[in-house]
Amino acid sequence: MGKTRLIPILSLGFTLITVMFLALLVGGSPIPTRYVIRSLSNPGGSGVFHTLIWDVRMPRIVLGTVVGAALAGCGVVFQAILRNPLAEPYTLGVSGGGALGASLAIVLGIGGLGMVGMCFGGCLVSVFTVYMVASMRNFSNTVVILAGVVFSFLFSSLVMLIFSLSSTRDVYAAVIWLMGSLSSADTNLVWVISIAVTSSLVFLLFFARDLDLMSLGDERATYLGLDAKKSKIFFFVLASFITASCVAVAGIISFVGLMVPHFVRKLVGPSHGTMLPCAMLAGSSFLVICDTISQRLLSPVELPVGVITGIAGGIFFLLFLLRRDWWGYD
Amino acid sequence: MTLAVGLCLVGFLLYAPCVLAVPNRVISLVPSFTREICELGAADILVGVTSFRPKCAATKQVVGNLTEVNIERVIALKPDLVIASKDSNPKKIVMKLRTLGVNVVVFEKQKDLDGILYTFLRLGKMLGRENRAREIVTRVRLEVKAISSRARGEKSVRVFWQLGSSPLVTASNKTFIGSLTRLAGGENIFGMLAESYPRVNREEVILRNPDVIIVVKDMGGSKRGVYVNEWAHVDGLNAASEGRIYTLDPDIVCQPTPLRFARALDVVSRLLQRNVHGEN
Repeated sequence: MGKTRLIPILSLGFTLITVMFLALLVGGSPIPTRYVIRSLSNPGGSGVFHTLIWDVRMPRIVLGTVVGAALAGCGVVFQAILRNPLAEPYTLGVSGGGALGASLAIVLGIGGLGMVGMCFGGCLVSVFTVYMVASMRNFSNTVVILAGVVFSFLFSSLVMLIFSLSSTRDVYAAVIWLMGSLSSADTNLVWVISIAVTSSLVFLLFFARDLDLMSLGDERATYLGLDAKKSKIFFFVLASFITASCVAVAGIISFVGLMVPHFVRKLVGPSHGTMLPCAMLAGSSFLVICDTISQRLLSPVELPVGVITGIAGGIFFLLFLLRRDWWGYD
Repeated sequence: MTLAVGLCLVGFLLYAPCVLAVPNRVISLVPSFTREICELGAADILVGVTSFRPKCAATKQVVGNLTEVNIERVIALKPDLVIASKDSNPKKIVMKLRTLGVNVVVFEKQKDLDGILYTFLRLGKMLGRENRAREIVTRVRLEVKAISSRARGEKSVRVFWQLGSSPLVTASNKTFIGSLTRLAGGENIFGMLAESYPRVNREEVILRNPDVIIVVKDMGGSKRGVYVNEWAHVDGLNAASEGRIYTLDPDIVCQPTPLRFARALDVVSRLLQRNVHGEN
């Protein structure tokens, strides 16, 4: 690994560690720093502050780190394989399927792990249907994107149908859930999803070179020795699985998967060997920062983290977009 | 004779508007008002209701839900009164019905016992069931007074209401859950928040250390008992160490009618005073 590759990765890694540590200090409520340090230095301790740091704050930061990395990483993958700057983890209708599964679970009164399972199932149904449609047209990029958009609309309409037939209570619960949150009641679930997603992301990193080839287009990638169709299916399924896991545990968090890849591409260049890990690290830092802001801005009231990622990401992205040299032309 | 006829005529003229003003065909666009109409013994004049109606209105025609109302169906039922709520029904539906000449009465948001009783009396008067309404209101006031004076002797208990788990949602004192808590001798740990049903931070719940946690069960998907008792193992949390984490059926606390309020107050005050344990 060359020095030029290592520097941005190490810098962003260091930034992420700093952000995670600061998030642990700041958290969602005002706790004196000395109590935080004391709890951190004594993992086997007890008491309210210890529980608060180890069982509430820590899982939340870990989930934010994993989901942020996953959304940004999957954004990179979808933008590369579809060669479309507007592609993001939710482009293929994963969020619509997840929303449908979660809404059904709420209306049917299925909670806890059952709801997570139904949401994950909804995501997979959505991915499977898009996959089937795309496979009929040889996985052409346009068809994949259009099928994703069509199924997103279809699932959104089904969610609306469920809402219109449900009680206010259920609609309220579903809407709140759809806003996205990293505050999960089930710590075990956080660890399980985190391990599954992290291993998938690490696995993904080994295929950075294939992403480089895919981003040249199917034809060129084939000339250069890659089975473009097989690779596209592989990335499509793996990235969708990762996104589905994130949607199931944290709801729909907008903008991370779209903005971070563009930003990082401009910072470190288009080579996926550098860009993919950098995007994951930057996505993690961005989501952890946004989540901390969402907790502290109107404390003790918590804002949906998607609101902060949308506003912060939108403004930040717009400023860069308006810079003359951003896209290489006026 | 002339005097008697004259008195009868005067009596009729005074009484007639009252009789004529009482509606015979009523549509309720709010589930809690549908229940109140049943409690007033006026279910027979109900011709249309919204989905998720109480059992007493199970045979009535459904005209829509809270957000969408089938205007044609409402008109076809020829109601002489449609009851709506400012809090629940969109303004555009009310405007549309009024434009079409339908008599729509919109009630204000009810956030405490006085509001609920005032609305109930107004509804009773409107439906010609004033005596029944007064009777119920008096009974409820007496029950509430008895329960709250019993609670007043007890030490105030700090309560956390959990209406949704992921994300965590609670109720402030601007809701009738806040009113219930106060009358039952409790202190809502998030009572002072400006929003009625705010999302709150888990860390803040632990820091504020409530003595009692009441989880309203299916708010957020846990109707069938799949409910994660995330608080039970929190070290140092009063409610956990004293085993005072309860679950409640949403029907007990989410239907703001006078009779339901009294019942809910009885249940909540017993939970806060340790007399009765919840479903846990």
